[in-house]
Amino acid sequence: MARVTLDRVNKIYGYGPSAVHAVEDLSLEIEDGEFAAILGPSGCGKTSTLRMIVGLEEITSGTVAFDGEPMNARAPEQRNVAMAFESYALYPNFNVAQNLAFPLEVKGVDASERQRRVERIAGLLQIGELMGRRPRELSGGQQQRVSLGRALIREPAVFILDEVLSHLDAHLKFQMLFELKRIHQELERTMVYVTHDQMEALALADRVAVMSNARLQQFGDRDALYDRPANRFVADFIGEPPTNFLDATVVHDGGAPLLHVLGSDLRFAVDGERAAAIEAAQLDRVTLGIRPQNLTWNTDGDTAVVGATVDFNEYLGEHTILTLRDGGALFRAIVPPNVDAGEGARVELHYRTRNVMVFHPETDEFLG
Amino acid sequence: MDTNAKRIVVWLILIGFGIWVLFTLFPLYFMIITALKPVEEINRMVPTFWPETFRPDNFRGIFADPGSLKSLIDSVIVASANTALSLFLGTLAGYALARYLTGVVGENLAFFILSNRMFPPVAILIPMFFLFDATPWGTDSYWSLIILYLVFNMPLATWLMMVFFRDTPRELEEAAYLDGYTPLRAFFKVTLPLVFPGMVSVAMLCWIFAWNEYLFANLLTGTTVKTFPVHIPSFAAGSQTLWNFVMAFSLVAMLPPVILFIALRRYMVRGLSLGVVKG
Amino acid sequence: MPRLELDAVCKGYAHPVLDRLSLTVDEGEFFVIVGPSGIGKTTLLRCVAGLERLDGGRVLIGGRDVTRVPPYRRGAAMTFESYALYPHLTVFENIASPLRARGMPAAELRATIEAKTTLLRIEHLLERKPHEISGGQKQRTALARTLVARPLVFLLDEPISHLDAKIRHELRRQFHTLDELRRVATLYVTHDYAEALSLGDRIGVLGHGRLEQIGRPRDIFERPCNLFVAQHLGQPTINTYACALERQDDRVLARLSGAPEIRLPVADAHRVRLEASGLGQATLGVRPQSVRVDGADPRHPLRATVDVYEALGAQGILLGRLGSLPITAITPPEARFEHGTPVTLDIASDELLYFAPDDGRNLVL
Repeated sequence: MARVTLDRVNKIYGYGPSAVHAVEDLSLEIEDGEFAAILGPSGCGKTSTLRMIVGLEEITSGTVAFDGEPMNARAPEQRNVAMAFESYALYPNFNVAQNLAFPLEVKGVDASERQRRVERIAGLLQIGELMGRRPRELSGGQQQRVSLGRALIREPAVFILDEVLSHLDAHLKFQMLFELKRIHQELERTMVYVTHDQMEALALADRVAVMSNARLQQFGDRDALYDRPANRFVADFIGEPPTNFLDATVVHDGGAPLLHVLGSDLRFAVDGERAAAIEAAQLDRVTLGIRPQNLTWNTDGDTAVVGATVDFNEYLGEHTILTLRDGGALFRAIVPPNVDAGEGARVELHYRTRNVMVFHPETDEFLG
Repeated sequence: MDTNAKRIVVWLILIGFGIWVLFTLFPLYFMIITALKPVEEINRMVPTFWPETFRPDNFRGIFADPGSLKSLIDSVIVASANTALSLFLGTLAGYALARYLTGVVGENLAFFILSNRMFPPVAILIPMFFLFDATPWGTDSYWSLIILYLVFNMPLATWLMMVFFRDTPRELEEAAYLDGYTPLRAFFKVTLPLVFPGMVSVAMLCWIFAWNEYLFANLLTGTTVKTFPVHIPSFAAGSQTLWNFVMAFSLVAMLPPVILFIALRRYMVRGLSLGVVKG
Repeated sequence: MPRLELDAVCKGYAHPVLDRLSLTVDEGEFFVIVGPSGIGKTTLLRCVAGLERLDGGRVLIGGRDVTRVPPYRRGAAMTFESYALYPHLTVFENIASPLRARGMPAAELRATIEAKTTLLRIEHLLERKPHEISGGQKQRTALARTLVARPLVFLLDEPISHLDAKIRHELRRQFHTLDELRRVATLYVTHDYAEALSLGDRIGVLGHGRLEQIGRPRDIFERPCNLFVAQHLGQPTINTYACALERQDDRVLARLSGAPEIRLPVADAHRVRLEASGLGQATLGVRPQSVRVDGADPRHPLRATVDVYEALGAQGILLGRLGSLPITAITPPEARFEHGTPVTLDIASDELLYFAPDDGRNLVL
C-alpha cells in the first residue's frame, strides 16, 4: 500500500537542440488505495511517466516518492511495484499455475506459500479451472487474466497497468473493465492505469490525469472532467461522441448575455455563473462547448431550447445520434433510440444552461 | 547501475572490439604491404612490418602475363552468368514455395532444397568431373562452372527468396488482383518491387561464392577457361613463390566484390530487414 | 443491373465456415454483415471477390455467374482490414493502381484521383508513401483506391474499426453521402454492431455459417429472431435468465428459475404468441436499457444490490445482483450508485424478449 507522489517531475531525452521534453513539470498525488488513470493521446508523455514511476526510466529532475520516501535512486525491483503490459508475455512452456508462481519462485518464496498465493489469485481472477493449461490453449481474455495475475501475485504496493485492454475486442474489453474494477475493490491497492482510451479511463479510475504535449492538463474525477474541464483539449478528449464546439459572439439582449453562434441563427443562454465569467473576461467572442448528451430530446422542467435541422440520423440500438445543422454550424446530440426524425426534419432540443461551457477563443482555457 | 560500473563496461567492450579489429585487419594489412615489397624483402627471415623499399610496379607486373587479365574476365563471366541464373530460378522457385506449396509438402521440399548445401562439396567432386566430362562441351568450359555452381547457389537463392516472399503480405497481391491485374502483372507490379532489396542481397551472396570458388574450378577447368583463383598458383615459378605478385593479384581480385558491396549496400541493409515492410 | 447474389455458398467441409449462405444485395443498397470475430465475415467477402474458391454454390454479379471468374475480371473492389496499401508506391500511385490496370489516359486519371482525394481530404498527401501517413489517412487512401475503380460491387472489410472514435463518426457520415456507394451494391463487414446499425440499409447477422437474420437496423435490434442475434447486438450484452412462463389469473408471469421469488409480468402484446407456443420454459432477455434503476424502496417488488457502477460518458452502467442473479442496467449519466447499496429496478415489460430454451428462437416473432 502506498501513496504515490510525483513532484515537479521532468523527463528530457537527448541533449542540446535535439532534446525532447517528454514530461514537463508533472506534479501528481495518487492516494493510498486509489485507482488512478493516466490518459492522453499517443506521444503525450504518459508512457514516460509510468516508466519513471516503475523505475525503468531515469528521472531528469523532480522526485517520485512512495509514502513520502523518494524512489529516484531505487532500481525497479527495490520499489515494490508490479506492472502488467499490453502484450501478455506469458511463458509458453509453463502452464498457468507455473506462470503465476514464477515471480514468487524468483524471489525465493517457499512452496507452500507459493501454492497459497496462486490459489488466492486464481480465485480472485476466476481462472481456477485453467491452472493446468498452457498459454496457447487459452483465449485472449484468459491470457490477459493470467498476465494480470502474474503481476498481482507479488502483492505489490503499487500496481501499474499499461494499456492492458487495448487489443481485446469490445465485448471482452467491457467484461474485463468490470473485472478490474472488482479486483481493485477487493484488493484495495494503489493502481495506476495508463491508456489512450478515455472510456476505459473514466470507467475504471477514481481520478484521471489527462496529459497532452508532455504536460498535465487536469487531474480530477469524472464530474470534474465532464463539467469543469480545464481547457478545450480536455473537453474535446473526454466524452464520446466528442463535445460540440461552436464559435460564438456574446450578445447582450437586455440583461443576461446570450451566445450567438457564428454563421447561424443558434443562440445559447448561459447561467449566472458563466455570464459573470464572460463579463469578467471582457470578451465579445468565445468558444462555446456543449456535450451531445446534454442536448436532450425530452424536457424535464428547467431547460432552454435550441432549434436545428437534422443532417444525419444514426440509429445505434441503445440510442440515436443526430447530426444537426443550422446555417454553417454543425453539432451532434444523443437522443433516445425511438426518435426517427429523418434528414431535413426541423427539431428542437433542450439543454440546461449550466451545461453550456465557455472557453477563451484564443487560449482555449475554460472560463466557466 | 551507477556511472562507474557503466564506464568499466564501456571500456571492456572497447578493448574486446580492439582485439577483434586487430585479428581481422592485420592479415589485410600484411597483404597490402607484401604486395608493395620486392621479393628479396619478403624472403627475409625477420619480416618487416613496413616496406623498406616500395615497389608499386608489382601491380603492373602481374598483368605482364596476359592470363591474369583473362582469368579476371573469366571469373566475371562465370560469376555473373551463374548469379543471373541462380536468381532467376531461385526467385521463381522461392515464389512457388512461398505461395503455392504451403503445408507439409512445401516445408519438406524447401528443407530438401536447402539441405543440398549441407553436404561437404568435396564429396561430389569426382562424380561431377565425370558428369561434366560426358557433356558435349566437356569439363573445361564456361557452362560447366556456371551450371555446377547452381548446385550451391540455387538452394540458397531459393530458400532466401522464399523467406522474402513469405514476408510480403499476400493481401498486397490480392489487392492488385482486385485492381484488375492478372497474377503475372501483379507479380511484377507489387511483389517483385517489394522483394527487390532482398534479390540484391541474394545476388551479392551468389556472386561472391562463384567469384571465390577454387576447388571445383581447379579440377574441372584450367586451360580454355581459367578463373582467377586457379590463376593465382601460376605466380609460383619453380620452387620460388612470387608472394608480391600473389598478394598484388589477390588485392586486385578483391576489388570487384568490395566495389559491388559498397555500391549496393543501401539494398543489402534493406534486404536484410525486409520483414519490417508491412502494409 | 449491378446487383449481387449469393446462392447457397459453401466454404469448408468438416466445420463449414459458410454453410449454404444465400443473400441478395440490390443496386444502390448498403448491406452490412455483422458478427463476432472469427465467424467467417472476411471469408465471405473473399468468396465474393474471388480470392477464395467456393466449395459449393454460386456468386452472381449483375446477373452474371462469376463463380469461376478470376478476381481481376469480376468487377469487384475491396478494402482490406489491413488496408493492403502498396508500401513502395506513393499515395497517388496506390489510388491510381486500378485505373492503370485498365490503361486510363494520364490526364483523365489525374482528374479522377484529384476529385476523389479532395472529397476524402487526403489531396495533400498524394506524394507521400504509406508509411509516412497516419492510420486514418491510410484507411481513406484504401477507400479512395476502391472508389475510383468504379466497380460493380464494393466489398468493405472493417474499414473503420481501427480508427479512433472521432474519425469514425466523421467517416460514418461520409459513407452515407458517397454517391459511388449509392449507385452499386455494397457489402460491408464489421464486428461492431453500432457501426452496422448506423450504416446499413439492411443488416445480416452472421453466425454458424449462415445469416441468422436479415433485416432493417431497427428490426434487427428490437426484434432479434433468436438469442444469438440478441446477444451479439448491444453493449452491454443483453441479460438472459432461464424462466418458466406461468398463467396466474388472467395474466401470464415469467418466473425466474434462478430466483423463483421474482416474477415479471408478460406484456399483453407478447402474451398471445407465448400462449400459442404453449408457455412452459423459456429464456428471458432483458436489454440493459430496459431496466430503470431507482433509490431503495423496501416495498418495491424488484430489489437489487449494486456490485459495480461505472459512470461513462453518455450513460452509466450498473452491475448488480437481483437475488443471486447478475443484472446489468444502463442509467442516465448523472446517476451515482455506491458498491453494496440497495436499489430498486423497473423493467419495461413490453421491451422484454422471450427465446426458446432449445434452439434459442424468438418465441414472440
